[in-house]
Amino acid sequence: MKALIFDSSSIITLALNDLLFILKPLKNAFGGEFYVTDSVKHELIDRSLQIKRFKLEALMIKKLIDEGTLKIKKDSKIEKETKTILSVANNTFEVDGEGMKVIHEGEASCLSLYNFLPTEKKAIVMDERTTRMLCEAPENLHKLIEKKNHRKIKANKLNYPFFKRFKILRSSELVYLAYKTGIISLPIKSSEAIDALLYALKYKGCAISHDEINEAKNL
Amino acid sequence: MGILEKEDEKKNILDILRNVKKALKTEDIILIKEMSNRTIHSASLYKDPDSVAIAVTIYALSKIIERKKYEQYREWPSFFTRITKDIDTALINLEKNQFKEFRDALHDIRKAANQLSGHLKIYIQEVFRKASINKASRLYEHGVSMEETAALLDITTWELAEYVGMTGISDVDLSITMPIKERINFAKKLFEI
Repeated sequence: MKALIFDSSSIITLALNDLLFILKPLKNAFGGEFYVTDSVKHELIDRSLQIKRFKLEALMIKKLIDEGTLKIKKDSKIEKETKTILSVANNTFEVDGEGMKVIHEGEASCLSLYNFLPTEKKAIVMDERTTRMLCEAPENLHKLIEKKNHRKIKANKLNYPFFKRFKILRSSELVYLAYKTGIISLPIKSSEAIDALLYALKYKGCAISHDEINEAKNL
Repeated sequence: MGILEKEDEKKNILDILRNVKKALKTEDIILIKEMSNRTIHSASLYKDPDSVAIAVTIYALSKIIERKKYEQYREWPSFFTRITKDIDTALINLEKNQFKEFRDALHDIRKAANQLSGHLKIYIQEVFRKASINKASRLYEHGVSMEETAALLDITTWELAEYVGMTGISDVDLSITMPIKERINFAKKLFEI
């Protein structure tokens, strides 16, 4: 079984760009499951339905859940592991002897679910950069926090390996594949279409840089 | 331990409030903006409600005094007098370690905005909402995750995503944790394309 776990940030980027339609055909092409945790569903739907400005997007996401494109994973083991992950993550950096809170329950729940899926063919789809940095380059996150706060921050480097196992994609990689497999078609040459798509994602919150977009155009 | 109980942080906040008081009197927009920028480090490091409230309030005040058009509204003089007094009260109470009264005074600034009427009320409330989103984006920039930041500032991840997309946060070199070619290849492998 293959699986992708979606954090709220990646679904939000797709929704704000009217690209949620790619998920169903992408899932068919993937041949596995697309999951969201209960905590992410709460952020994407329950909370957003209360806000008129994002109510339509929340309903469109709800439709994806109702029709089974996105499946909700909820169980007590995931919740318990989420707490453990939060505790490790939020004690990886310390200021004045206290742990710095860097991630929240929704993000931690994605890492938790990842741990419980019995397959090697899995990834978390996440557009926000902090959790990705914690997993892929915690030393970069440490440098960034020190640089931005203009002070030394203690890093508990023994925690770093805990996050190394998580594989992360962003909405940008999914949209890239959606374009390359014909799920998205645009009336312009390939490099310009990739440019248009990835910049649209970037401007709605996907943490992808100008340099990365330039590189992706030429792949 | 809250930031108000940390001696260095308290000194920093007192200094910020004294400067804000001065800036309100002289309508010194540059000084108040400078003070607003100084609040974000504490909010980012400690994430306690006091540091976040201070950061949002001072940023909102900087925007409020910047916009001269508000002065034409009938309720402006009494609103401005009240918020100036609130800063004074907050300052005096923090000096005396009366934290509850300090928080009440800061809270009264928001309350004053909610008690306005007509267009001025809408404008000022919008300034506070935008101040929350702006400060949230600064916290995200400082290495706090999107959801953690949104929860702390009581805004939605949607609002934050839209705002940070317009900033250069994702262009910071340290954010690039894997070459995009490698990530795309990993995606292709997963999808067996």
